[in-house]
Amino acid sequence: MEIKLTNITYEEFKKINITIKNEGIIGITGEGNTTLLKIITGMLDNKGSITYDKEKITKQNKIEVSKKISYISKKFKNDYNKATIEEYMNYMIYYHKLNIKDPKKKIIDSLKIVDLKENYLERIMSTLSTTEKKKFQIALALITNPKIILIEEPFNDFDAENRKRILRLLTQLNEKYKIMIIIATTNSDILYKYTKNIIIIKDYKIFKSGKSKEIFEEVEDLLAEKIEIPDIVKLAYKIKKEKDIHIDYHRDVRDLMKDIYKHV
Amino acid sequence: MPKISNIIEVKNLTYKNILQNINLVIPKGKYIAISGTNSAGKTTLIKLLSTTLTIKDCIFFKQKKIEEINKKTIFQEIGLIFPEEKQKFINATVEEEIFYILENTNMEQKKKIEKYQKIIKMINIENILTKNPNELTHINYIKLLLATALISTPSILLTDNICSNLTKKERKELLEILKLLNKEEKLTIIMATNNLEEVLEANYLYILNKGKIAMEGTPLEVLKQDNKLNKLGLELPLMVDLSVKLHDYDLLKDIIIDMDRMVDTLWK
Repeated sequence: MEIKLTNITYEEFKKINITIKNEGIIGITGEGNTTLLKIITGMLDNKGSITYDKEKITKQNKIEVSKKISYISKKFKNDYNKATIEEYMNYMIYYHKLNIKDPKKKIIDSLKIVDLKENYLERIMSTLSTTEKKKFQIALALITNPKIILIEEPFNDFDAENRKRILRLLTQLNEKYKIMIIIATTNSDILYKYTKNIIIIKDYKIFKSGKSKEIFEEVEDLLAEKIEIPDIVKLAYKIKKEKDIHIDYHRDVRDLMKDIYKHV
Repeated sequence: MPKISNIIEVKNLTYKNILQNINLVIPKGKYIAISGTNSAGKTTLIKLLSTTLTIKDCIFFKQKKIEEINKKTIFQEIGLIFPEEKQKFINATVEEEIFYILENTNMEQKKKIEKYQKIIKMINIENILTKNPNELTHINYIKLLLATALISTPSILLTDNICSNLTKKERKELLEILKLLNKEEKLTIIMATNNLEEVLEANYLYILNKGKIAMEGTPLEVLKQDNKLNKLGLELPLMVDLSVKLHDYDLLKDIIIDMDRMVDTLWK
Protein backbone atom coordinates (compact mmCIF):
# COMPACT_ATOMS: atom_id res chain seq x y z
CA MET A 1 0.00 0.00 0.00
CA GLU A 2 1.20 3.45 -0.84
CA ILE A 3 -0.67 6.72 -0.44
CA LYS A 4 0.16 9.63 -2.64
CA LEU A 5 -1.12 13.15 -2.03
CA THR A 6 -0.59 15.57 -4.92
CA ASN A 7 -1.17 19.31 -4.67
CA ILE A 8 -3.64 18.91 -1.86
CA THR A 9 -5.27 22.16 -0.81
CA TYR A 10 -7.74 22.16 2.08
CA GLU A 11 -8.42 24.94 4.56
CA GLU A 12 -4.99 26.15 5.78
CA PHE A 13 -3.16 23.39 3.90
CA LYS A 14 -1.84 24.59 0.54
CA LYS A 15 -0.40 22.37 -2.18
CA ILE A 16 0.69 19.45 -0.05
CA ASN A 17 2.71 16.76 -1.80
CA ILE A 18 3.75 13.60 -0.05
CA THR A 19 4.03 9.88 -0.62
CA ILE A 20 3.45 7.62 2.36
CA LYS A 21 4.72 4.05 2.23
CA ASN A 22 3.50 1.20 4.38
CA GLU A 23 6.47 0.72 6.67
CA GLY A 24 5.93 0.21 10.39
CA ILE A 25 3.61 2.44 12.38
CA ILE A 26 3.50 5.90 10.86
CA GLY A 27 2.99 9.04 12.93
CA ILE A 28 1.71 12.48 12.01
CA THR A 29 2.38 15.36 14.39
CA GLY A 30 2.24 19.16 14.54
CA GLU A 31 -0.67 21.58 14.38
CA GLY A 32 -3.17 20.28 11.84
CA ASN A 33 -2.23 16.61 12.30
CA THR A 34 -5.84 15.49 12.61
CA THR A 35 -6.88 17.48 9.54
CA LEU A 36 -4.13 15.84 7.48
CA LEU A 37 -5.27 12.46 8.79
CA LYS A 38 -8.81 13.27 7.65
CA ILE A 39 -7.56 14.43 4.25
CA ILE A 40 -5.98 10.99 3.79
CA THR A 41 -9.42 9.38 4.18
CA GLY A 42 -10.29 10.96 0.83
CA MET A 43 -13.66 12.01 2.20
CA LEU A 44 -12.94 15.74 2.52
CA ASP A 45 -13.74 18.18 -0.18
CA ASN A 46 -10.14 19.08 -0.99
CA LYS A 47 -8.38 20.21 -4.12
CA GLY A 48 -5.62 18.06 -5.61
CA SER A 49 -5.51 14.31 -5.94
CA ILE A 50 -5.20 11.34 -3.63
CA THR A 51 -4.18 7.90 -4.85
CA TYR A 52 -4.04 4.60 -3.00
CA ASP A 53 -1.75 2.14 -4.75
CA LYS A 54 -2.04 4.16 -7.97
CA GLU A 55 -5.84 4.11 -7.79
CA LYS A 56 -7.00 7.69 -7.88
CA ILE A 57 -10.03 8.76 -5.87
CA THR A 58 -12.77 10.25 -7.98
CA LYS A 59 -16.31 11.32 -7.21
CA GLN A 60 -17.50 8.05 -8.77
CA ASN A 61 -15.35 5.59 -6.83
CA LYS A 62 -15.22 7.56 -3.55
CA ILE A 63 -17.69 5.41 -1.62
CA GLU A 64 -16.17 2.15 -2.82
CA VAL A 65 -12.61 3.27 -2.08
CA SER A 66 -13.61 4.57 1.34
CA LYS A 67 -14.25 1.01 2.47
CA LYS A 68 -10.53 0.37 2.25
CA ILE A 69 -9.94 3.03 4.86
CA SER A 70 -11.05 3.05 8.46
CA TYR A 71 -10.88 6.15 10.63
CA ILE A 72 -10.82 5.87 14.41
CA SER A 73 -11.57 9.10 16.22
CA LYS A 74 -10.20 10.11 19.58
CA LYS A 75 -13.48 9.95 21.39
CA PHE A 76 -15.89 7.10 21.24
CA LYS A 77 -19.27 8.35 20.05
CA ASN A 78 -22.03 7.94 22.58
CA ASP A 79 -24.91 7.87 20.10
CA TYR A 80 -25.70 4.19 20.40
CA ASN A 81 -24.72 3.66 23.98
CA LYS A 82 -27.57 1.30 24.76
CA ALA A 83 -26.87 -1.04 21.84
CA THR A 84 -24.91 -4.23 22.29
CA ILE A 85 -21.63 -4.71 20.49
CA GLU A 86 -23.22 -7.17 18.10
CA GLU A 87 -26.16 -4.88 17.30
CA TYR A 88 -23.89 -1.97 16.61
CA MET A 89 -21.52 -3.96 14.41
CA ASN A 90 -24.46 -5.36 12.48
CA TYR A 91 -25.71 -1.85 11.99
CA MET A 92 -22.34 -0.80 10.57
CA ILE A 93 -22.40 -3.72 8.13
CA TYR A 94 -25.85 -2.58 7.03
CA TYR A 95 -24.82 1.09 6.91
CA HIS A 96 -21.79 0.43 4.70
CA LYS A 97 -23.86 -2.01 2.59
CA LEU A 98 -21.13 -4.58 3.09
CA ASN A 99 -21.58 -7.83 1.30
CA ILE A 100 -20.67 -10.31 4.01
CA LYS A 101 -21.77 -13.93 3.84
CA ASP A 102 -21.72 -14.69 7.53
CA PRO A 103 -21.92 -11.39 9.45
CA LYS A 104 -21.86 -13.02 12.86
CA LYS A 105 -18.65 -14.88 12.05
CA LYS A 106 -17.10 -11.69 10.69
CA ILE A 107 -18.02 -9.84 13.88
CA ILE A 108 -16.59 -12.58 16.09
CA ASP A 109 -13.41 -12.71 14.01
CA SER A 110 -12.91 -8.95 14.23
CA LEU A 111 -13.42 -9.02 17.98
CA LYS A 112 -11.00 -11.93 18.27
CA ILE A 113 -8.22 -9.96 16.58
CA VAL A 114 -8.47 -7.24 19.22
CA ASP A 115 -8.61 -9.85 21.96
CA LEU A 116 -12.29 -9.43 22.88
CA LYS A 117 -13.93 -12.81 23.41
CA GLU A 118 -17.28 -14.00 22.11
CA ASN A 119 -19.10 -13.09 25.33
CA TYR A 120 -18.56 -9.44 24.39
CA LEU A 121 -21.22 -9.75 21.67
CA GLU A 122 -23.95 -9.18 24.26
CA ARG A 123 -22.18 -6.37 26.10
CA ILE A 124 -23.92 -2.99 26.15
CA MET A 125 -21.51 -0.44 24.74
CA SER A 126 -21.87 2.04 27.61
CA THR A 127 -20.54 -0.58 30.04
CA LEU A 128 -17.19 -0.92 28.29
CA SER A 129 -14.03 0.35 30.00
CA THR A 130 -11.73 2.84 28.27
CA THR A 131 -9.42 0.11 26.97
CA GLU A 132 -12.31 -2.07 25.85
CA LYS A 133 -13.82 0.88 24.00
CA LYS A 134 -10.59 1.50 22.11
CA LYS A 135 -10.30 -2.19 21.25
CA PHE A 136 -13.91 -2.22 20.12
CA GLN A 137 -13.30 0.84 17.94
CA ILE A 138 -10.45 -1.06 16.28
CA ALA A 139 -12.60 -4.19 15.85
CA LEU A 140 -15.27 -2.04 14.25
CA ALA A 141 -12.67 -0.56 11.93
CA LEU A 142 -11.69 -4.08 10.86
CA ILE A 143 -15.21 -5.01 9.70
CA THR A 144 -14.67 -3.50 6.25
CA ASN A 145 -11.34 -5.33 5.75
CA PRO A 146 -9.49 -2.03 5.47
CA LYS A 147 -6.08 -1.61 3.89
CA ILE A 148 -5.47 1.53 5.91
CA ILE A 149 -6.39 2.39 9.49
CA LEU A 150 -6.08 6.01 10.59
CA ILE A 151 -6.18 6.72 14.32
CA GLU A 152 -6.34 9.96 16.28
CA GLU A 153 -4.36 9.99 19.55
CA PRO A 154 -4.61 6.24 20.19
CA PHE A 155 -2.70 6.20 23.46
CA ASN A 156 -3.77 9.30 25.36
CA ASP A 157 -6.20 7.85 27.84
CA PHE A 158 -4.11 4.83 28.70
CA ASP A 159 -1.66 3.78 31.34
CA ALA A 160 1.67 2.25 30.32
CA GLU A 161 0.44 -1.33 30.34
CA ASN A 162 -2.61 -0.66 28.19
CA ARG A 163 -0.60 1.59 25.87
CA LYS A 164 1.70 -1.35 25.23
CA ARG A 165 -1.29 -3.60 24.63
CA ILE A 166 -2.82 -1.25 22.04
CA LEU A 167 0.59 -0.81 20.45
CA ARG A 168 1.13 -4.56 20.18
CA LEU A 169 -2.25 -4.83 18.53
CA LEU A 170 -1.48 -2.11 15.98
CA THR A 171 1.93 -3.63 15.26
CA GLN A 172 0.29 -7.00 14.69
CA LEU A 173 -2.27 -5.49 12.30
CA ASN A 174 0.59 -3.93 10.40
CA GLU A 175 2.94 -6.90 10.33
CA LYS A 176 0.56 -9.82 10.09
CA TYR A 177 -2.35 -8.33 8.17
CA LYS A 178 -0.27 -5.76 6.24
CA ILE A 179 -2.68 -3.01 7.17
CA MET A 180 -1.17 0.45 6.96
CA ILE A 181 -1.38 2.14 10.35
CA ILE A 182 -1.18 5.92 10.61
CA ILE A 183 -1.55 7.64 13.97
CA ALA A 184 -1.93 11.36 14.67
CA THR A 185 -0.56 12.50 18.01
CA THR A 186 1.12 15.50 19.60
CA ASN A 187 3.16 13.34 21.97
CA SER A 188 6.77 13.28 20.77
CA ASP A 189 7.85 10.72 23.40
CA ILE A 190 5.40 8.20 21.98
CA LEU A 191 6.29 8.99 18.38
CA TYR A 192 9.99 8.58 19.03
CA LYS A 193 9.59 5.35 20.93
CA TYR A 194 6.92 3.59 18.92
CA THR A 195 6.73 4.81 15.31
CA LYS A 196 9.03 3.93 12.46
CA ASN A 197 8.23 6.87 10.22
CA ILE A 198 6.84 10.31 10.91
CA ILE A 199 5.49 13.36 9.20
CA ILE A 200 5.93 16.66 11.03
CA ILE A 201 3.66 19.52 10.05
CA LYS A 202 4.70 23.10 10.70
CA ASP A 203 2.66 26.10 9.54
CA TYR A 204 0.46 23.70 7.58
CA LYS A 205 3.35 22.50 5.45
CA ILE A 206 5.25 19.23 5.58
CA PHE A 207 8.27 20.28 7.63
CA LYS A 208 9.95 16.89 7.71
CA SER A 209 9.05 13.35 6.82
CA GLY A 210 11.03 10.13 7.12
CA LYS A 211 12.48 7.87 9.79
CA SER A 212 11.28 8.93 13.26
CA LYS A 213 14.60 8.17 14.89
CA GLU A 214 16.61 10.26 12.45
CA ILE A 215 14.18 13.17 12.38
CA PHE A 216 13.84 13.53 16.14
CA GLU A 217 17.61 13.52 16.46
CA GLU A 218 17.92 16.60 14.27
CA VAL A 219 17.45 18.54 17.49
CA GLU A 220 18.63 21.95 16.33
CA ASP A 221 16.27 22.00 13.35
CA LEU A 222 13.39 21.10 15.63
CA LEU A 223 14.36 23.65 18.28
CA ALA A 224 14.51 26.39 15.65
CA GLU A 225 10.91 25.65 14.70
CA LYS A 226 9.76 25.15 18.31
CA ILE A 227 8.81 21.53 17.66
CA GLU A 228 8.36 19.30 20.70
CA ILE A 229 11.39 17.09 21.27
CA PRO A 230 11.20 13.72 23.07
CA ASP A 231 12.52 14.09 26.64
CA ILE A 232 14.99 11.26 26.19
CA VAL A 233 16.52 13.00 23.17
CA LYS A 234 16.50 16.39 24.89
CA LEU A 235 18.52 15.05 27.81
CA ALA A 236 21.23 13.52 25.61
CA TYR A 237 21.35 16.75 23.62
CA LYS A 238 21.75 18.85 26.78
CA ILE A 239 24.64 16.68 27.99
CA LYS A 240 26.39 17.11 24.68
CA LYS A 241 25.70 20.82 24.46
CA GLU A 242 26.46 21.84 28.03
CA LYS A 243 29.15 19.38 29.08
CA ASP A 244 30.64 18.55 25.69
CA ILE A 245 30.20 14.85 26.36
CA HIS A 246 28.95 12.64 23.56
CA ILE A 247 25.99 10.54 24.62
CA ASP A 248 24.23 8.62 21.87
CA TYR A 249 20.51 9.00 21.34
CA HIS A 250 18.59 6.02 22.69
CA ARG A 251 14.97 4.99 22.54
CA ASP A 252 15.22 3.02 25.77
CA VAL A 253 16.10 4.60 29.10
CA ARG A 254 18.25 1.60 30.11
CA ASP A 255 20.53 2.17 27.13
CA LEU A 256 20.76 5.87 27.92
CA MET A 257 21.61 5.00 31.51
CA LYS A 258 24.44 2.67 30.42
CA ASP A 259 25.82 5.35 28.17
CA ILE A 260 25.74 7.93 30.97
CA TYR A 261 27.44 5.43 33.30
CA LYS A 262 30.34 5.11 30.87
CA HIS A 263 30.90 8.84 30.82
CA VAL A 264 30.45 9.99 34.40
CA MET B 1 -2.58 19.69 70.62
CA PRO B 2 -4.58 21.56 68.00
CA LYS B 3 -6.78 19.30 65.97
CA ILE B 4 -5.76 19.09 62.33
CA SER B 5 -8.81 19.80 60.25
CA ASN B 6 -9.49 17.40 57.46
CA ILE B 7 -11.65 18.41 54.52
CA ILE B 8 -12.46 14.86 53.62
CA GLU B 9 -12.15 11.57 55.43
CA VAL B 10 -12.98 8.28 53.81
CA LYS B 11 -13.55 5.34 56.11
CA ASN B 12 -13.69 1.72 54.95
CA LEU B 13 -15.23 2.57 51.62
CA THR B 14 -16.26 -0.39 49.51
CA TYR B 15 -18.25 0.24 46.36
CA LYS B 16 -19.68 -2.56 44.21
CA ASN B 17 -16.71 -4.60 43.10
CA ILE B 18 -14.80 -1.51 42.01
CA LEU B 19 -13.40 -0.15 45.28
CA GLN B 20 -12.45 -2.12 48.36
CA ASN B 21 -11.84 -0.88 51.86
CA ILE B 22 -10.52 2.56 50.94
CA ASN B 23 -9.33 4.82 53.75
CA LEU B 24 -8.23 8.34 52.95
CA VAL B 25 -7.51 11.46 54.94
CA ILE B 26 -7.42 14.71 53.01
CA PRO B 27 -6.08 17.51 55.25
CA LYS B 28 -7.04 21.08 54.49
CA GLY B 29 -4.77 22.85 52.02
CA LYS B 30 -3.03 19.73 50.76
CA TYR B 31 -2.44 18.72 47.18
CA ILE B 32 -3.19 15.02 46.84
CA ALA B 33 -2.64 12.85 43.76
CA ILE B 34 -4.32 9.53 43.06
CA SER B 35 -2.81 7.36 40.38
CA GLY B 36 -3.15 3.84 39.08
CA THR B 37 -3.90 1.97 35.88
CA ASN B 38 -7.01 2.44 33.74
CA SER B 39 -9.42 0.27 35.67
CA ALA B 40 -7.96 0.82 39.13
CA GLY B 41 -11.02 2.72 40.38
CA LYS B 42 -9.78 6.34 40.26
CA THR B 43 -12.73 7.78 38.38
CA THR B 44 -15.23 5.95 40.58
CA LEU B 45 -13.50 7.32 43.67
CA ILE B 46 -13.59 10.89 42.31
CA LYS B 47 -17.28 10.43 41.45
CA LEU B 48 -18.04 9.22 44.96
CA LEU B 49 -16.10 12.09 46.56
CA SER B 50 -18.01 14.59 44.42
CA THR B 51 -21.35 12.85 45.16
CA THR B 52 -21.84 12.17 41.44
CA LEU B 53 -22.18 8.60 42.70
CA THR B 54 -23.67 8.03 46.12
CA ILE B 55 -22.70 5.86 49.04
CA LYS B 56 -23.69 5.99 52.69
CA ASP B 57 -21.70 6.23 55.92
CA CYS B 58 -18.21 6.18 54.36
CA ILE B 59 -17.35 9.68 53.23
CA PHE B 60 -17.13 12.60 55.65
CA PHE B 61 -16.95 16.14 54.36
CA LYS B 62 -15.78 18.50 57.11
CA GLN B 63 -16.73 15.85 59.67
CA LYS B 64 -20.28 15.44 58.32
CA LYS B 65 -21.61 12.51 56.35
CA ILE B 66 -21.41 13.73 52.78
CA GLU B 67 -24.77 12.24 51.77
CA GLU B 68 -26.51 14.32 54.45
CA ILE B 69 -25.23 17.68 53.25
CA ASN B 70 -27.58 19.52 50.91
CA LYS B 71 -26.78 19.45 47.19
CA LYS B 72 -26.36 23.19 46.90
CA THR B 73 -23.68 23.31 49.59
CA ILE B 74 -21.88 20.38 48.00
CA PHE B 75 -22.02 22.11 44.64
CA GLN B 76 -20.44 25.26 46.12
CA GLU B 77 -17.88 23.51 48.27
CA ILE B 78 -16.62 20.86 45.86
CA GLY B 79 -15.27 21.90 42.48
CA LEU B 80 -15.20 19.04 40.00
CA ILE B 81 -13.29 18.98 36.71
CA PHE B 82 -14.28 15.96 34.71
CA PRO B 83 -13.38 16.61 31.05
CA GLU B 84 -14.44 13.12 29.93
CA GLU B 85 -18.08 14.17 30.07
CA LYS B 86 -18.09 16.99 27.56
CA GLN B 87 -19.96 19.99 28.89
CA LYS B 88 -22.04 22.32 26.72
CA PHE B 89 -22.07 26.03 27.53
CA ILE B 90 -25.11 28.20 26.95
CA ASN B 91 -23.56 31.62 26.45
CA ALA B 92 -22.02 33.16 23.35
CA THR B 93 -18.66 34.06 24.86
CA VAL B 94 -16.35 32.83 27.59
CA GLU B 95 -16.76 36.15 29.40
CA GLU B 96 -20.56 35.88 29.41
CA GLU B 97 -20.38 32.28 30.54
CA ILE B 98 -18.31 33.19 33.60
CA PHE B 99 -20.50 36.20 34.42
CA TYR B 100 -23.61 34.09 34.02
CA ILE B 101 -22.41 31.81 36.81
CA LEU B 102 -21.28 34.79 38.89
CA GLU B 103 -24.77 36.29 38.60
CA ASN B 104 -26.17 33.22 40.32
CA THR B 105 -24.09 33.82 43.43
CA ASN B 106 -25.02 36.03 46.39
CA MET B 107 -21.93 38.20 46.00
CA GLU B 108 -22.12 41.99 45.88
CA GLN B 109 -21.65 43.46 42.40
CA LYS B 110 -18.24 44.87 43.29
CA LYS B 111 -17.11 41.52 44.65
CA LYS B 112 -18.28 39.76 41.49
CA ILE B 113 -16.08 41.91 39.33
CA GLU B 114 -13.11 41.43 41.63
CA LYS B 115 -13.67 37.69 41.57
CA TYR B 116 -13.93 37.69 37.79
CA GLN B 117 -10.69 39.64 37.38
CA LYS B 118 -8.87 37.38 39.79
CA ILE B 119 -10.03 34.16 38.16
CA ILE B 120 -9.25 35.12 34.58
CA LYS B 121 -5.79 36.20 35.66
CA MET B 122 -5.04 33.08 37.70
CA ILE B 123 -6.27 30.68 35.04
CA ASN B 124 -4.68 32.79 32.33
CA ILE B 125 -7.69 33.04 30.04
CA GLU B 126 -7.60 36.77 29.33
CA ASN B 127 -6.94 36.05 25.66
CA ILE B 128 -10.01 33.86 25.07
CA LEU B 129 -12.74 35.93 26.73
CA THR B 130 -14.49 36.85 23.49
CA LYS B 131 -14.40 33.30 22.09
CA ASN B 132 -17.35 30.94 21.82
CA PRO B 133 -17.07 28.60 24.82
CA ASN B 134 -18.25 25.65 22.73
CA GLU B 135 -15.50 26.09 20.15
CA LEU B 136 -12.44 26.21 22.37
CA THR B 137 -9.24 24.23 21.96
CA HIS B 138 -8.98 21.39 24.47
CA ILE B 139 -6.65 23.24 26.85
CA ASN B 140 -8.88 26.31 26.86
CA TYR B 141 -11.92 24.12 27.43
CA ILE B 142 -10.26 22.67 30.54
CA LYS B 143 -9.27 26.15 31.69
CA LEU B 144 -12.85 27.34 31.34
CA LEU B 145 -14.08 24.35 33.37
CA LEU B 146 -11.52 25.33 35.98
CA ALA B 147 -12.56 29.00 35.94
CA THR B 148 -16.25 28.19 36.37
CA ALA B 149 -15.48 25.72 39.16
CA LEU B 150 -13.64 28.41 41.13
CA ILE B 151 -16.46 30.95 41.13
CA SER B 152 -18.17 29.59 44.24
CA THR B 153 -14.82 29.57 46.10
CA PRO B 154 -14.87 25.82 46.73
CA SER B 155 -12.88 24.39 49.60
CA ILE B 156 -11.73 21.47 47.51
CA LEU B 157 -11.08 20.82 43.85
CA LEU B 158 -11.36 17.33 42.37
CA THR B 159 -9.93 16.63 38.93
CA ASP B 160 -10.03 13.49 36.81
CA ASN B 161 -7.56 12.97 33.98
CA ILE B 162 -7.40 16.64 33.08
CA CYS B 163 -4.05 16.39 31.31
CA SER B 164 -4.76 13.60 28.85
CA ASN B 165 -5.04 14.96 25.30
CA LEU B 166 -2.78 17.92 26.05
CA THR B 167 0.67 18.64 24.64
CA LYS B 168 3.64 18.67 27.01
CA LYS B 169 3.66 22.45 27.07
CA GLU B 170 -0.05 22.67 27.78
CA ARG B 171 0.19 20.01 30.47
CA LYS B 172 2.98 21.93 32.15
CA GLU B 173 0.94 25.14 32.09
CA LEU B 174 -2.12 23.45 33.59
CA LEU B 175 -0.10 21.77 36.33
CA GLU B 176 1.47 25.15 37.16
CA ILE B 177 -2.02 26.61 37.57
CA LEU B 178 -3.02 23.78 39.94
CA LYS B 179 0.14 24.33 41.94
CA LEU B 180 -0.57 28.05 42.14
CA LEU B 181 -4.17 27.47 43.26
CA ASN B 182 -2.89 25.21 46.00
CA LYS B 183 -0.01 27.45 47.14
CA GLU B 184 -1.54 30.90 46.79
CA GLU B 185 -5.23 30.22 47.28
CA LYS B 186 -4.73 27.41 49.80
CA LEU B 187 -7.12 25.33 47.74
CA THR B 188 -7.20 21.64 48.66
CA ILE B 189 -6.77 19.53 45.54
CA ILE B 190 -7.31 15.88 44.71
CA MET B 191 -6.15 15.03 41.22
CA ALA B 192 -6.58 11.63 39.60
CA THR B 193 -4.35 10.64 36.70
CA ASN B 194 -2.88 7.54 35.12
CA ASN B 195 0.29 9.43 34.23
CA LEU B 196 2.90 9.53 36.98
CA GLU B 197 4.56 12.55 35.38
CA GLU B 198 1.70 14.65 36.69
CA VAL B 199 1.99 13.70 40.36
CA LEU B 200 5.41 15.13 41.15
CA GLU B 201 4.14 18.40 42.65
CA ALA B 202 1.63 16.76 44.96
CA ASN B 203 2.16 16.61 48.74
CA TYR B 204 0.95 13.06 48.95
CA LEU B 205 0.31 10.26 46.48
CA TYR B 206 -2.00 7.27 46.60
CA ILE B 207 -1.62 4.43 44.09
CA LEU B 208 -4.77 2.45 43.48
CA ASN B 209 -4.66 -1.05 42.11
CA LYS B 210 -7.73 -3.16 41.45
CA GLY B 211 -9.81 -0.98 43.77
CA LYS B 212 -7.40 -1.04 46.69
CA ILE B 213 -4.78 1.38 47.90
CA ALA B 214 -1.59 -0.42 46.90
CA MET B 215 0.96 2.25 47.80
CA GLU B 216 1.01 5.65 49.47
CA GLY B 217 3.46 8.31 50.58
CA THR B 218 5.13 11.43 49.24
CA PRO B 219 5.55 11.19 45.46
CA LEU B 220 9.29 10.60 45.81
CA GLU B 221 8.88 7.87 48.41
CA VAL B 222 6.43 6.07 46.16
CA LEU B 223 8.24 6.62 42.86
CA LYS B 224 11.50 5.25 44.25
CA GLN B 225 9.87 1.81 44.28
CA ASP B 226 10.16 1.40 40.52
CA ASN B 227 9.86 -2.39 40.41
CA LYS B 228 6.65 -2.36 42.38
CA LEU B 229 5.14 0.35 40.16
CA ASN B 230 6.11 -1.50 36.99
CA LYS B 231 4.42 -4.60 38.33
CA LEU B 232 1.27 -2.55 38.82
CA GLY B 233 1.41 -1.54 35.13
CA LEU B 234 2.64 2.00 35.67
CA GLU B 235 5.55 3.66 33.96
CA LEU B 236 7.93 6.02 35.75
CA PRO B 237 8.47 9.47 34.27
CA LEU B 238 11.77 9.55 32.36
CA MET B 239 13.68 11.72 34.84
CA VAL B 240 12.50 9.74 37.86
CA ASP B 241 13.23 6.46 36.11
CA LEU B 242 16.71 7.61 35.21
CA SER B 243 17.34 8.98 38.71
CA VAL B 244 16.35 5.68 40.32
CA LYS B 245 18.61 3.74 37.97
CA LEU B 246 21.54 6.14 38.47
CA HIS B 247 20.96 5.89 42.21
CA ASP B 248 21.29 2.10 41.99
CA TYR B 249 24.70 2.64 40.40
CA ASP B 250 25.68 5.13 43.13
CA LEU B 251 25.83 7.98 40.66
CA LEU B 252 23.05 10.00 42.23
CA LYS B 253 21.92 10.49 45.81
CA ASP B 254 18.46 11.86 45.20
CA ILE B 255 15.77 11.87 42.60
CA ILE B 256 16.28 14.84 40.31
CA ILE B 257 13.40 15.84 38.10
CA ASP B 258 14.88 18.91 36.51
CA MET B 259 17.01 18.08 33.47
CA ASP B 260 19.50 20.92 33.87
CA ARG B 261 20.06 20.09 37.50
CA MET B 262 20.61 16.43 36.68
CA VAL B 263 23.23 17.25 34.06
CA ASP B 264 24.98 19.63 36.46
CA THR B 265 24.92 17.12 39.29
CA LEU B 266 26.36 14.31 37.20
CA TRP B 267 29.16 16.39 35.72
CA LYS B 268 30.05 18.98 38.36
